[in-house]
Amino acid sequence: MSDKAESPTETHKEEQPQSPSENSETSEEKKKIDVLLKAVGDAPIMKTKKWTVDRGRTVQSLAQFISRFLKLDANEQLFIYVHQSFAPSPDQEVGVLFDCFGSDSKLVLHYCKSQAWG
Amino acid sequence: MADDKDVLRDVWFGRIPTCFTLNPDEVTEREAEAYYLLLPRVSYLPVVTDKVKKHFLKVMRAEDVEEMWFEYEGTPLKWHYPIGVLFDFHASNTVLPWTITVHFKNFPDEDLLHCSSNSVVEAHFMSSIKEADALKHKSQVINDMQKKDHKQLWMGLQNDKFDQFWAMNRKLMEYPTEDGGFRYIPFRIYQTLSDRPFIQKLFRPVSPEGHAHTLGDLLKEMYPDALTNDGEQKRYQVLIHGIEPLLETPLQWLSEHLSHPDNFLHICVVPVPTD
Repeated sequence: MSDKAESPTETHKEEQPQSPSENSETSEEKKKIDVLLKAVGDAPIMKTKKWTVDRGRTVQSLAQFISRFLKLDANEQLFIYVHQSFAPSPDQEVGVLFDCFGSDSKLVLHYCKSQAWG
Repeated sequence: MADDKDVLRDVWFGRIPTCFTLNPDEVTEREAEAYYLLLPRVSYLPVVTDKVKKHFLKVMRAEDVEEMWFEYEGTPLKWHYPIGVLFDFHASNTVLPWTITVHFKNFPDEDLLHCSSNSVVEAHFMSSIKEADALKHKSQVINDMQKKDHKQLWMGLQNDKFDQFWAMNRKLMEYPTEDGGFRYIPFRIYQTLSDRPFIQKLFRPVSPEGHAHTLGDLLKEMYPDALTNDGEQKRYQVLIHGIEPLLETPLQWLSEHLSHPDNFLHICVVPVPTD
């Protein structure tokens, strides 16, 4: 899976008012979505937790970004979880996760260095 | 009239006759014969291809063997998609058997995830089930199950044990009667001519007025091009487990009976064959 060169951008302090509606008939989807990263267990806490990410970015690409940002060793694994319950496939697009599991206009992702929720 | 439970069995025991041939560029000590196998639609390639690997390893030297991967007409096959989905998407209107090329070199990292053992498949399978239950029941049912129950779901799939699997899976198909169905339907729509892998969004099985949503309603919302308007010629086939269910079929019923063991409804939209 290739790592997209572009890094996610930090969101500004002020929230952009936007609510994803269910069964929306509007064709215009935001190209980027807001992600909130939360550390679990002994994983280092990101100094910047809120990021704006391209919808098409994969989970694996985001995991690689977090690993680099936290300066983890190459052999240290990073596990990403949605809803504190399932680990999405590495090739899953964050835009899809946002559509299905986002709340308050953002997608919350938990990350840890060992398997947390199986 | 077939019982609804018969449908569950028909889905589980669906098979695709497949012919595995070795990539001609592989280094062999003698000619490799093709290997024929009936593949379960509802399973995953790494789980059911041990015999394929053993067969081809007989004519190869160990040093020429890396991670096995599969390809169909130049396209690497994603092992983490159910086999039936791969077939319906790539080869649904072709002559049987499905011919798959086996590779032991040049693993395409750009296109495929690695799969070092069946535990990788198990983790992926269980995550899919958990994701589906997050949509159906806010994860309440799957979280109420014990670890051994989760294991039973996987073992049932791995060992092709319908009763063992459904003894647990039926719990994931229940819902409060007053709700009329699941909270949201876990589905994925695969389109042949699209840059995105699939469509997956929130969709309720029942309308706010209390009407049951149908397969047609889902497509109208998510992929209206798949539908044929009056007077138009049909351009697409909407396939689930290789068949075209009537568009009037209630989505809740489809979710309960035609989902894959991962609890997702995998829907392939392919062009109508033009021959």
